[in-house]
Parts: sequence; structure tokens; C-alpha cells
Amino acid sequence: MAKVNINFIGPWRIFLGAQTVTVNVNTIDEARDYVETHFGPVYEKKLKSMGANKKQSIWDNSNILLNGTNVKTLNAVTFKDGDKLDLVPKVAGG
Amino acid sequence: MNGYHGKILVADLTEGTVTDEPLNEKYARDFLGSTGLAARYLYDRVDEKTDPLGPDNPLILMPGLLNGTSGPSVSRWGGATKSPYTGHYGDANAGAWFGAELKNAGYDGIILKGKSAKPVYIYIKDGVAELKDASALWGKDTYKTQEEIKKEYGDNRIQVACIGPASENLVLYGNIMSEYGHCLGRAGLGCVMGSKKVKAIAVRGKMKLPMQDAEKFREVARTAMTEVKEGFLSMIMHETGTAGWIDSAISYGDGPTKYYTAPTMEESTKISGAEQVEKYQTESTACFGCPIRCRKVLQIKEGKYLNDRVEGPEYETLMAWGAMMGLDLDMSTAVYLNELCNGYGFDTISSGASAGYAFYLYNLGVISEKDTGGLKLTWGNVDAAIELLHLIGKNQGFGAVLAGGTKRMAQKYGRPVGEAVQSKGLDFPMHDPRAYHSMGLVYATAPRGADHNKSDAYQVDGGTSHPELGLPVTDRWDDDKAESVATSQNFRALTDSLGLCHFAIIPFNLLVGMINASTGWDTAMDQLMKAGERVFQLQRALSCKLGITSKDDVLPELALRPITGGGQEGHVPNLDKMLPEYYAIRDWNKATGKPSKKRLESLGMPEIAASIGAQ
Repeated sequence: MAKVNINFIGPWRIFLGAQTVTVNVNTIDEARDYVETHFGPVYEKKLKSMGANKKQSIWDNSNILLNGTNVKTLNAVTFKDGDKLDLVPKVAGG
Repeated sequence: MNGYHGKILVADLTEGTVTDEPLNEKYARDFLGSTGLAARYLYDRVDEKTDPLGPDNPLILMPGLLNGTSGPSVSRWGGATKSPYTGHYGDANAGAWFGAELKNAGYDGIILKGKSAKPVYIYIKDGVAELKDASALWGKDTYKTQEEIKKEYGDNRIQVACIGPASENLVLYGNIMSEYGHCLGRAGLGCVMGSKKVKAIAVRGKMKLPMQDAEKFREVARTAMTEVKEGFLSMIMHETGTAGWIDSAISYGDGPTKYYTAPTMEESTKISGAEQVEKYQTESTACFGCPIRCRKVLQIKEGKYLNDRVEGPEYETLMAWGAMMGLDLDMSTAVYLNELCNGYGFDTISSGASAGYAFYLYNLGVISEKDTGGLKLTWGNVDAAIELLHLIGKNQGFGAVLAGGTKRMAQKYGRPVGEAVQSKGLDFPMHDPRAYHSMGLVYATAPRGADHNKSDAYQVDGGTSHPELGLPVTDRWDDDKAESVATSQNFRALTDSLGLCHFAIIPFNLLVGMINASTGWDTAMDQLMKAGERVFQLQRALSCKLGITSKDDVLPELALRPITGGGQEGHVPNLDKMLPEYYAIRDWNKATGKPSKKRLESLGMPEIAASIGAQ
């Protein structure tokens, strides 16, 4: 398994209470499972504290950049040690 | 006439009179409010010969259609004028409380015309307006001006829109400021107000807005309130404000650095929204009736410039007065710079861009200390940036050069016009089109010049847009963006005219429900989108009337040089592909840039088609 750094960018770091985690994963699906399993409950609690009741996914509300490149534009994703996976909130404004 | 009070205030500053005129009901029905309605009123009153700073150029301020109601996030109001900065169509809109209070005071808009011989301000209360002497206010900054007027009447709920010293000194990108840091920025509306010697407009009122079905409105608005509150975009903005975008901007290479010549500065994380929340933020405040509460109040307890309670800067300001000059800012200095800009009352984007361009020219060896009055503009020199800011506000020395903006600076120093990063004379906002190609098309085609708020493009490419618009989320470096940009421009022309904030995503049935309950119309979303297109095409036609042609729909060369490091990865937008597709969708003439007669007539504007000689 590859050691991958998952970065929670900007507001995610406030919502999830973490900035970077290093995980052992081989595939994008495994990375997604890790994020939703370990941080989904934190996110849900935060949403409730803000008075929001709709269930939401961290992953679905993120743009995923692997070493700066959107994973949607990549044909296949194979992680290697030291890869950087940025979860950027799927919003823009300013 | 439901949804409106049915009257406009006309202040003739030359004559020293204020009179009420009936609202043009057809204009209101077709162009709704705020920048849409203001543009229609402006159209009849200016031409190519109008001097932007002369008495014949009107300044028109209008609340959004839904201002003053209990609808969520519908506080935005706007204005239009012939811009002294760009020389053609100029408009602006802002949030806060002024628009709602103007509606409460019984007016659907204000037209300022003529020129006063001495400083005045306008006081409006419950449907009655008067001109007052402002000699004692002239020279005061925008914060003090607002405080003094509220103090004079002993009423803290008076809403004041005012100018600061920058607009008094005719800085061409002077703002109108309200609720302290909220501005009608970009196009120099404040400068026009300063040329008329109008220091402020103060409004207060409790007049009930006539509504077709007030109970129905409240019911729909309550549901819409919940939708807005629970939206993902709302929650992000609630948590970190627009400064929350900084970290994302670094990832995408969206934040212009060292005047568009370097990857987005990683050091900008020190002033990000997340950093604000963790170290400085004490509370959030809101515009009228908004559940998002994206305005952040900070306490600065460390650094050179301490402040016990101050509103945090927005993303645009943090970048324009930061990375653009290569400044490695701490929060204390970032807040200080923002406060100075707001106090003087000038546009943070164009001023930051002008200062950034000065740094660029200095580092290129084009200008030296002889030109700058001794300032050493080496990248990252914060003290020099602060001094430049003061000089701009006073319109003095080298600051007078910067107060004219980047296009004039390029001309003054014999530089190619494409080195000044602007479109139609208006500087790019802090969203680099090399990070989002769609923004290149937006900047090249927006009526007032480079304008990130006239489209959702970067939001769409960022994965968030109104789901019912059905805009495809494609790769940010694709150049198949014409349809998406045109649709989102129409949508923003609509929401700006309604007064709806970009951060509030309201389901269409609820938006339509509120409008119909207020006005008594029987409109539908397709008709409203058509109104959005009508507003956009009108603003384009007005730009053309004032001299803009297809030759002006271009991007500056400096912003098309690839940057290989950072989040841009060497991409540049292909305007040669996007623009012809966009022209076809808009039905604009390839040679003149004018909207076609057929399109203008289909939107119910035969008189506009005739006026510009559309074919």
C-alpha cells in the first residue's frame, strides 16, 4: 500500500478539525472510504451544530486533486508513496 | 403597483432640488431593479460625448426588486453611470442594509444629476427627501462620515451610502461605501458622486411595501430561508467568508501573484479564512435578512496593527493588496490595508492592480525611484505598498498616476496595452483565467469590463452552480465554455436585478413564488431568465452606444503567458475558439460587436435596436 497525504483544504480543515492525514491506500475508492468513515461523523456533527439536517458527503462536496491534477481528468489512478491528495470544497466565491 | 413604491427620487444638484417622479412601470417590469433597472434609466441619458465627471452624467442608484422583503439573502442593491474609470458603461452592486432601507423609506431608486457648488448630502425619511449641507463632513473618511450622520440624527438604524476622500479627490475608481466596508466598487460610481459634490445619502423609513399577497410571500420566504441556510455553499461562506477561498485559490493557481507572473503565493495561507477562524474571528454578521452571515468580525491581538473589533477583508482584497505585489502578509497588516482602502473609499481590486503593476514596472526597470517619489517597489515591500495606498487615496504624487489605473499607466510609460491586465479598461479581479478558462471569456465579454461577478463561470468550474440551471461541470481548462458562460451571465444579470446574493441558492419555484407574491405578476422561470438576458443585452448595447466594439472583446497578453508552476500547469485560455462560439450564441455582429436587431426585438427592445443601429 502507498502512503498518501490527504489534505483538507481551506474550510474543510475547520469543518473536519484536521488539516492533513497520512493514510495507506491503493485506490481512489479506498481513499474515499477512509475519508467518509473517519471524518463523516465529524462532518455530520458539525452540520447539526449549524442547524442543517440534510445528510451530505464530504467526498461528493469536494474537488479531488492528485498532486494538483483533478482526478476526473486522469485515466487511471495508482497511488505511490508521498502522493498528495487535496480535497477542495466544491464551492467558489470571493 | 405591487412590489414597488412607484416613485423615484430625482436630485438635481445644480438646481439644489429634490423631486419625486413616478417609476416607469414598463422599465420595472422588463428590467426588475438594481443594475438592470438602473442601466435602462441610464441608457436614455448618456452618449459618447457625455463627460463622466460632468453634470450631464447621471448617477443612478436602485434597490433590487426583492430588497426590503423578508426573502432570504435579497439585500443587494446597485447603481449605474458612465464610468470615469473605463469611459463606458459602469455599474456596481453591494450587499448590506442600504437597499432595504431605501425601499423602507419609500423609494424605488435615486437619480443624481447636475453638480452642486458646495458639498451636500441627501437625507430621506419615510418618503420625504431633503438636501443638507455637508461642508462639515467633506474630507472625512467613510467610517467617520457614517458615524457622524447617524450621530446627528441620534438614530443608529439610519443607513448611509457615502464617499471618502478618494472620491472627493476624484480617484477614478472611487467607491460608494455603506455599512462601513460594503462598497459599490469597480467602475468609479463614488468618483461620479464626488464630482457632484454629494458626500452621502442617508435613508431611514418604515413605509410598508405594497405586496400582492404578503401572507403567501412570508410562507414561501420561510421555506426559501431553510433552503439557503442548509446549502453547502452557504455553510462554507458562513464558516469562513470569502477569505475561505484563499487556500483553494492556491491549489488551483487562481490568485494572481507578482502581477500575473508567478504561481499563487503559498504564504497567503497566513491570511486565509481558515486561519481567521482559528486565530482571529470573534463573530459573524449579516446583510439584511441573510442567514448565511458571511461577514467576519476579527480581533487582532498580535502584529503591528492591533484592532479590538474589525471586519475581516474579503478574498479579492487579500489577494489584490497581497500576492499581487508579492507581499507576505500577516493578518494584522492585511486588515490594516483593508481598513485604509475602505476609509479612503476606493476599489481594492483596481487599486491593488495599479499598485501591482507599478511593482512590476519597477522590477522590470521601466520606472525607478525618480518616478515613484523615492519608493523602492521591490516585490514584497510592505511599507512601500502602504505608502502607495495613502498616495492613491490623496491622488497625490506617484499616487496620482496609480489613481488613473493600469491602462493609463501603460500609456504613460509607453508600454504595450496588453501588459496592463484589464479588459475594456477594468482590471481583472483575483480569479486568473489561466486557472479557469471560462473566466477569460467572462472577462472579455462582460459589459463593464473584466468582471467576475457577471457570471458563475468559476463557480461552475469549481463544481457549484444552481442545480436547476443544468450547467455542465467540465474540466476547468476546457475551452467549450461559451454556452455555459452565456447562460450564467444571464442568470447573474437576473439575480443582480432581483437583489439576490450569489451565495444563496434558492430553488426556482421558491424564487418565482416570492416574486409573484410580491408583485402580483404571473411570471415563470423561463420568463425571468429571458429578463436576465434582456438586462445583459441592454448593458452590452449601452457599452456599444458608448464606444465599445468587438475589438475590445480581448484579453491582455500578459495574462496569457503560461505559468508552469503552481496550480495552473501552463494552461492558457483559447479565446479564439470560445469567442466566435459565444458571439453566435449572443447574436452579436462580428465587426461591430452590437447585438442583432432581431435579438433585441425578440427581447422587447426595438427602441434600443434602433438607437444603436443594430442590423
